[in-house]
Amino acid sequence: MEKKTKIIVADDMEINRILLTEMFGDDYEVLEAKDGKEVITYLEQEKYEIGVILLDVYMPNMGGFDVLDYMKEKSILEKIPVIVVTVSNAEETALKAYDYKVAEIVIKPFTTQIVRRRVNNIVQFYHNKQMLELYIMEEMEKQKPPYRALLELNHQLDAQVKSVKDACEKEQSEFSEQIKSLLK
Amino acid sequence: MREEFKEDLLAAGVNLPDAVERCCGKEELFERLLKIYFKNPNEMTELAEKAEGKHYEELFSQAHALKGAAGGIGLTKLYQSLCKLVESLRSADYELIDEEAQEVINSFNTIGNIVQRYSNE
Repeated sequence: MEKKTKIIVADDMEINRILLTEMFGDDYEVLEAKDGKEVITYLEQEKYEIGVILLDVYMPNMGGFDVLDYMKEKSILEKIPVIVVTVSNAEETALKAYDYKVAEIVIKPFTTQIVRRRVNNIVQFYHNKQMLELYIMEEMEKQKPPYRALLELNHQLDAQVKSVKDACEKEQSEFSEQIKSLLK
Repeated sequence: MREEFKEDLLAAGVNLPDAVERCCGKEELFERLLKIYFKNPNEMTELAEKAEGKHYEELFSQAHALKGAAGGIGLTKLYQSLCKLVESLRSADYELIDEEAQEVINSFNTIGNIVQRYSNE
């Protein structure tokens, strides 16, 4: 059986967590967090192997922006997509979230089908991106042997040029010694 | 869900088809979430105390959280009342706070009483 991608649903309101878990429970393994601290615990536990984080902004103890600060510091914001879930009429919040380069912003109350599509698209997009990066790495790895051989050949040529040069210098030195002795 | 329960919710301004749709089309999930939403019997007493005591920051936090969840499960009328209260608090316009808080309390209690009644049966 194929292993389900893990997603984190972070919201201090139990209702919202249940709703989102119900929405995504069939397709993903949902990890519920009621504040930012729990999000970070999950991130560390799972070694950052998370498909997406649905992140509420206002939570007690540690809010959504604190989580984004942590992810920025750890340089994982480009690897793990974050969907910020916020209430309507909060343009400031949305703009601040975009400054962190979050993948998407969802305004509450949301339409379940649209959110489901967005989450699926983002998870798929990041998965494809990772696969592409992996492919590029593999291709670069494949390119390494000829590159190394060229480097080796270059070293050999350098060594040969140096030995010829040394021989020439030696010969020249011997020749000048001979001339000196003849002139005496 | 019982038909009478549904009818009472509709009469209290709950957009039932939308609410159930928001709950992945599952009536039993909507019912479960309603019970969770209204499980704290002191919710509105706390809100009223914060409004009376002019503890606007705390009032904002509570109203903001209630608003998000109300919208999420389709409690339209209550959600709209909470929107007005939250926006006034956000813009520090306290002139109508008492009336807006009272509107929230009325709307919350109307639905809460229905939920309570059918939960006890």
